[in-house]
Amino acid sequence: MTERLRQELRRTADTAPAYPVYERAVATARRSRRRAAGAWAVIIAVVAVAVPFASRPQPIPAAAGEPPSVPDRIGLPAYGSHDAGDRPHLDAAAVSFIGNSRRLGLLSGESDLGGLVGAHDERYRTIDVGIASERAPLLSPDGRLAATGGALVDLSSGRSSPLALTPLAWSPDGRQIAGTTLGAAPDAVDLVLMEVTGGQVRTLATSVEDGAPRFTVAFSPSGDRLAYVADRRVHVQDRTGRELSAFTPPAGYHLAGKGAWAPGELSLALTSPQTGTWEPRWFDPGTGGPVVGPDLPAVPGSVVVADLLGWRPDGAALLHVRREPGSAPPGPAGEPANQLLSLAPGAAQPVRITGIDDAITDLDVADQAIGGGRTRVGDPPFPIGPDVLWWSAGTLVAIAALAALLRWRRRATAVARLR
Amino acid sequence: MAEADSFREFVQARTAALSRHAYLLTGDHHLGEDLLQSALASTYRHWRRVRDSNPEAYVRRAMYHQHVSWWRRRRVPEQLTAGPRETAQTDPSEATALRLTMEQALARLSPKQRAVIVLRFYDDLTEAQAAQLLGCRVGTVKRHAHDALRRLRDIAPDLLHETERTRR
Repeated sequence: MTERLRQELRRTADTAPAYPVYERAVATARRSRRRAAGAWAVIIAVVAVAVPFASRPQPIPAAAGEPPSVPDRIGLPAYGSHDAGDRPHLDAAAVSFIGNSRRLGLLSGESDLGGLVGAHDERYRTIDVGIASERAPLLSPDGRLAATGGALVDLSSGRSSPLALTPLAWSPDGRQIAGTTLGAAPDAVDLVLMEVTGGQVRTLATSVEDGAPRFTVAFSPSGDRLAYVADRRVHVQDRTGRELSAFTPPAGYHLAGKGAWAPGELSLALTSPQTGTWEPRWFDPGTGGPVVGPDLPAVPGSVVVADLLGWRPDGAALLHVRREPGSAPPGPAGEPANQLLSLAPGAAQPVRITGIDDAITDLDVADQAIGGGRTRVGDPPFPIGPDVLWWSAGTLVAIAALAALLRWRRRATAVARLR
Repeated sequence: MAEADSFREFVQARTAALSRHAYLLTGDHHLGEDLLQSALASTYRHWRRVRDSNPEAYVRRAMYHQHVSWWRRRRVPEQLTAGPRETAQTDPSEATALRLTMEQALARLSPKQRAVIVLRFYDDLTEAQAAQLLGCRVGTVKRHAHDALRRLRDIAPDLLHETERTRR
């Protein structure tokens, strides 16, 4: 019954020539192998990147009411780190900083991003500080707010609001920020005091200087007095803005930092910005006369930046010190040139509290983190941050979609020949 | 290099036979060429594994599966008609007419039916061998063969009836 069918099948088959497909088949196979190898390479790369995240220990939640602590090591945020506005929110920061690193400005290498380190755990966030900012974001005493040159960021909600001043110091009660704004006259800069809630602004002083005007500001620990340097004179005011005293310090001297008031508020620390050993001089805030202040150990070496941040509960001063790049600080080999030091009165040597990445140029520590006196083990993040995974995943999906589209079109062309 | 050499030898030796299979499955020289190329590419990727067993069976299996896969992607609904829409009986040459009828008839079969017809009546495989090659059950092969022959009988009765007439 099917003999004729068999014959016709053979006759029909015999009309087909031998198709010359060897070269194209081999090329197709090799292309397919290359694609498979590429896909495996991408998968392995993604896994290699993802595994360190998966294996990182989860932060231990802080007990309620526990004061912030300072990490003993501060690094840079990862490429693709979460921003201060991203969830999960940081809630509060112990440390803020800026620096010169591509991790703080991926495209330009300039510092258009700052970094934040969690108050209780090793979570890092980035924060926009504007192009070429020279100051780290200013942290409120409890670390819940961060003020930059253009915004006030609530770290517990991630929301930010405009801030029309360059912040310099935060009052101990957290209700006022001292900072600078452009004055009415050309080249004039106003030193102002702004209410955090409400935004009322009171001008304290106006400075017109050749070149960049420089104010330094320090609230007394009680918050009753405010010292600032303007036009090369030290001024001390009370809460109402009444000037209590003013005196001229030695040439080139300015307030040693936001912690320039010694405990007891009997003396003010002033330092010279010249490179070399850091050794403050103490002055009476009422009269401007030299006084004997806390007997802090000198910080030798080629110090280029020194900022007295505050006072720890044991009476030691907390100092951020940065030395010239490449200059080895005194002490054991391998000591970082960028450090947080504890200077206990009467001690012979400073004690390193924290090693800081060399790329970090300016740093602030929340007052409560200083006053709590607690130090924790620092664990700077892996260089690749979570956002990079999302970027990678998005790129992979786009590539896969493009490949699928090209493949579909090629097959559609082949299938069209069936019609 | 030994891998490429042995594959080249295999292709040179079997291209003609495999091309005939590809043409019978597709009914189109361009598509048959694409089908063979795709199947050979798949074979070359696994050449180390298949070269010592039965590479030709691997290529044929790849062609059958690839052809069914292409047909699924095409997603053109099968056209079921009560009878043949056209025949080739006006051609004066009986052989040419029959060949046209053969090609037209095969074109109206589904890929699975066509595969079963080729395996059973061109390769002379048993139902069990065809089922093994296609990766399906013997009952499936039987059903496809039954459906294909019934349709061929409707579309091109000469292919089957003349055989019956000859036997008488």
